[in-house]
Amino acid sequence: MEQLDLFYGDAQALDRVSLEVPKGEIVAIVGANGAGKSSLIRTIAGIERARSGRIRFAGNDITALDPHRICNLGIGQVAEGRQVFPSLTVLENLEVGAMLPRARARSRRTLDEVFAMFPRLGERRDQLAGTLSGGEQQMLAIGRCLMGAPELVMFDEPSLGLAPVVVQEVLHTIRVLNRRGITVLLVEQNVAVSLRISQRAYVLENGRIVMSGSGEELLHNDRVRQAYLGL
Amino acid sequence: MDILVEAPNLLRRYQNGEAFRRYVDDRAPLVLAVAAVFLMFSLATTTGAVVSIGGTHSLLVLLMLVLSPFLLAGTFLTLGFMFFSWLENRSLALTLARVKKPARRGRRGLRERLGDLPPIPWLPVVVFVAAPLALLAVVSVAAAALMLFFAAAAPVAYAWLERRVW
Repeated sequence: MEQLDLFYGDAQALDRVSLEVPKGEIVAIVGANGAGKSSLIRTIAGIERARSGRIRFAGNDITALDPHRICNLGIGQVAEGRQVFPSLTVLENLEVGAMLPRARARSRRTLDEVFAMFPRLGERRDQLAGTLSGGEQQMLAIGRCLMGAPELVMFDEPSLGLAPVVVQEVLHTIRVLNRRGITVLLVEQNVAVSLRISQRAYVLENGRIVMSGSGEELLHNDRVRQAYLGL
Repeated sequence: MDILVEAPNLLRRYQNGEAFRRYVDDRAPLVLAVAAVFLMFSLATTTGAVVSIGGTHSLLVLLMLVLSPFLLAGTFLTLGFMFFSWLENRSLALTLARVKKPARRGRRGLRERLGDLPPIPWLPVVVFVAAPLALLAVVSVAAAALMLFFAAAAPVAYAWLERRVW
């Protein structure tokens, strides 16, 4: 992503943001509420249109593509608040995820893989998604994203509103996915956790990247520790 | 069901979900027409509640006038939430290719045409829809019956017109 500017009306949400998400890594974006983290993900996903700048994915310029085309190139998103379809069953939610042309051919196999990864979803395949617990809904949201056979998964606040035990489970899942070769862009308010599991991290303040480095480096950076970890 | 959680989630799914957003945008005239009916329902029932409870007692009139914007917004948003949940069900049915041509006429055909019913947030429905409607009925039974008819007929008309046009 190079020199990306995003505006909501006259208000600038992203200001010349440049960052890189190398293949196979976990990259974290940290920052306070309103720093522009979710706007960044929405822009990559094609939901928001950048005023200037360029986004490239696997050699393709995706800056002006529609969201479904971006998904079909292999960019998946686990949105904030999970956003499963409450009136559909677990299985139907997963089927929605497999509707991308790139995913259709091997959807049966992917479904088996998702059920193997999240056995609870398999047990509840015919249950309405709205009746699942918060943790199960998060698993379903991740599973639905995986059904699209993504190469890059963007997580927007995956731990939001979840019990600590479930947060650990979600983070473990993110690590497992990464070990399986999926590149991860993680936007998370829980700074300590996201820096700990990421190979590379960027600090976003008022729509600008103000700091970057390895997760470990930022975790020991005095400014980050004071501003985000309260140490 | 917690409408305070589900309503923002529904809004986010609309903002982030290209298929749902396109479904609504493509049918904007119909959606706006139904929204106008719900606005009319909200205005009528709020007015009925103000007149009915306020009566001639000045303090109650004042109280109802202060509460009326909240009542109006609550009624409209509750109806809007159920309507948009229903629209999401319809757009998902299209996406999942679960739309069948209604084979039957009458009540069963209508049921198939309407598809899955939306989730009903019972508490807001009682407080913001049923109670103000009952209070409107105290003032005018005919007006309450007319509003009930319009509110019930709007989605039916939507489903019928949607099949004709799209």
